[in-house]
Amino acid sequence: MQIELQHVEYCYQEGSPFARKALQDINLTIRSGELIAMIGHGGSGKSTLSLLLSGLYKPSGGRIDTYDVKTGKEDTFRNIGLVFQYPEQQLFAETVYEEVAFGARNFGVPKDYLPIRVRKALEQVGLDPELFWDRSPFSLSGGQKRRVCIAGVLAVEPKMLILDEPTAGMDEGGRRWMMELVRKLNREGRSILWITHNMREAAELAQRIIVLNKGSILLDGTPEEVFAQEELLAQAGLEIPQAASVVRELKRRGLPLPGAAISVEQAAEEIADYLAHKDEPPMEPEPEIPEPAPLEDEEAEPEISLESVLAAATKDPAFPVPEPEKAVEGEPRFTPWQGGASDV
Amino acid sequence: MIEIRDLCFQYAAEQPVLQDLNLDIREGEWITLIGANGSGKSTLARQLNGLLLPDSGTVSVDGLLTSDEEQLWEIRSRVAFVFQNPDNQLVATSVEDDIAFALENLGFPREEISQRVEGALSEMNLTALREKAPHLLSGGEKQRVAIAGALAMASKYLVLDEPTSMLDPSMRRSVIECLQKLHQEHGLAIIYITNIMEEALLADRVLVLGEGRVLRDEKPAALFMDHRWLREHQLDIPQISYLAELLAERGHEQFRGVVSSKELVEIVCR
Repeated sequence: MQIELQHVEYCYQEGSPFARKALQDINLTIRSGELIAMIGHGGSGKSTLSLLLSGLYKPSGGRIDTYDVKTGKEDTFRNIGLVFQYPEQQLFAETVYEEVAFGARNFGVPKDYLPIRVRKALEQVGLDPELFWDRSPFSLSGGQKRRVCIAGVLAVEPKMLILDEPTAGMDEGGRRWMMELVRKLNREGRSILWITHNMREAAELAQRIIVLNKGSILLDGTPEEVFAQEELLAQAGLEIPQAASVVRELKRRGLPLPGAAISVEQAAEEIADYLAHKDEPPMEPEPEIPEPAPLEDEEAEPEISLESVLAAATKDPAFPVPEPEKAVEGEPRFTPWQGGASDV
Repeated sequence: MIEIRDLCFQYAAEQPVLQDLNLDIREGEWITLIGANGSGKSTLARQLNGLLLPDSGTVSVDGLLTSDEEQLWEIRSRVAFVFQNPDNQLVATSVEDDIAFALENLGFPREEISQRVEGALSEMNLTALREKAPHLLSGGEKQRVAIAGALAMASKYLVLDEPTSMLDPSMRRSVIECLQKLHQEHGLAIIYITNIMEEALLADRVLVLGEGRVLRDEKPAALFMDHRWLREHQLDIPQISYLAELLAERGHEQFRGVVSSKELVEIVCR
C-alpha cells in the first residue's frame, strides 16, 4: 500500500485558547515496501504524525490518501499497524492469547482463524506459543511484554507497520533483536516507519530518513544525504552518529578524506585509507581523494540540492521548491519529499 | 560512603535478582551501572535509598542502615533519586513549588527554603521557568527540575535511573551538562544507570551487573577495551571505541584503547 500526505497539518485543542499547531504543511509519500526511519527532537511532531498515519487522528488540514498500489483503489487504515511508545504500559488481557487476539478479533477475523493468527504472530516475535499461550502478560519480563504487544499488531497482518521508539529502554541484545525483526518484516513486503532518537539506529537500519523539526519536514533522503547536513541537524537539536562526526571533523581540519562515512566501518575505512597514504609524497594524488577542503564551512554537498534544503529550512519563496517528479516506469525508490502527487 | 554488604534480594517467588552483592560508593564519585535488561540495575538503585530493603545483608549510607526505619528520612534526604520517566516525579503546580516540595515536607524554615530554591533554579538554568507548570515543560526540562530538587535538598548522592532514555539528543546533552556541573562544583556523588554506552564513559567507575552480582568494576577505558567480553554479555560497544578497535586491527596500534572522539581526532592528525 501507498500513503500520500498533501499539505497535512494538525492542531491540538483547535479553537481553544490552548490551540497548538503540532504539524504544518507535511507533504510525504510512503511507498510500498519502504523501510523508513523518522527522527526529530522531542515535540517535533513525530508521534503526532504516527497517529495521523495510522488513522487515529484526522488531519486539521490537507489530506491523507491510502491506496492499494496494485488495484489503485483506496485502502483502509486497518492495514496500518501502530506500535505505541512503551506499549507494555497498556497491556490489559488475562492471557497472552487474549492480548494478541484482541486487535484481530475487533477487525473481524473469524473465530476459527484467530488461534492460527495468534500462533503465527507469537512465532514471529520469537515467543513459543506453547509456553506463553495461557500465561498472564503481566507475569512476563519487560522485553517479553513488548514482544507480546508487537505480536498483537502483527496478528492483524498489517501491510505497513509504524513503531514509535520501539527500542527505548532496551538493552543491546533487545535492540539487535528488534532491528532484525523489522528487517525481516520488511523483506516480507511490509513498509516500515521506525521512529527513533537514536541516530545510529536510523543510520544502520533505514534506506530513507525523514527528519522532523518543529512540525515540518526538514530533510528527507538517504542516510548519506541526511547526515551530510550536520549543521541543519544540529539546529534541529539532533546530531549525526559519532563515527560520522569524527570523519567530518577530520575533513574540517583539512585532511584529505571524503568525510562522507556514516557507519563505524565506513569511518574506519576512510581513516585507514588516509593513514595508508599519509606518508606518500604528494606528487601523485590518488584520483578518488578530493582537494583538501577549505577551512571555511562548506555548506552544500554536491548530491543534495541546496535549494531544496533551504526551502525546507526557511520556507523562503526565494528558493522555489522543485516540481514534483512524475511517476514513471522504473522510477527511483522515492521522489524528493516535495513530491507526492504520483499516480501509480 | 554507601556500603553494601552481602546484599540478597528477590521479588516474591521469583529468581533472586541480587545475590551476595558487595559494593562501596565513595563520596564525590561518579559511577555508572550498566547491564542487560533484568540484570538488577534498577533494583540495586532502589536499595540505595531504602525504596527496596534487603532480604539479607545490609545497605548503609554514611553509617545509617536502610533497614532501620527511623533513619529512612535522613537516608532519603542524603540519597536523591531521579527516575526514567520525567512524568513520574513532579508533583507541584509550578517549577519552584516542586523544587521546594521536599524541603517543605521536612519542615525547613521559610527563609532557607526560598534561598535554596533560588540557588537551585539558577544553577540548573531554570529561573526563567520558575512559575511554569511542570507538565508544560519538555522532557529535558522536567529532568532538570528533578535534579534541582536534589540540589536544593543538598543531597550527597544522586541516583539516576536511565534519566535520558526518553529524551532527544539535545535535551540529553543539557541534562548531562547539569549533572557534570553538580558533580564538579558541589562534589555530588552520581550513581547513573544507563543503556547508552557513550554516557557510561563519563564515569570514574563503570559497574556491570549480571547474575545478581557485580561482574566488572573498573575504569571505563579499561572496560570498553574488552570488546569480546562486552559482546558476550549483550552490551553495546561505544562507537568511538569500536572505531579505534577497527583501526588497531588494521595495524594502527596507536588507536588501541581510545574512547573519546577528541583523542581519536588528535591521533589521526598527528
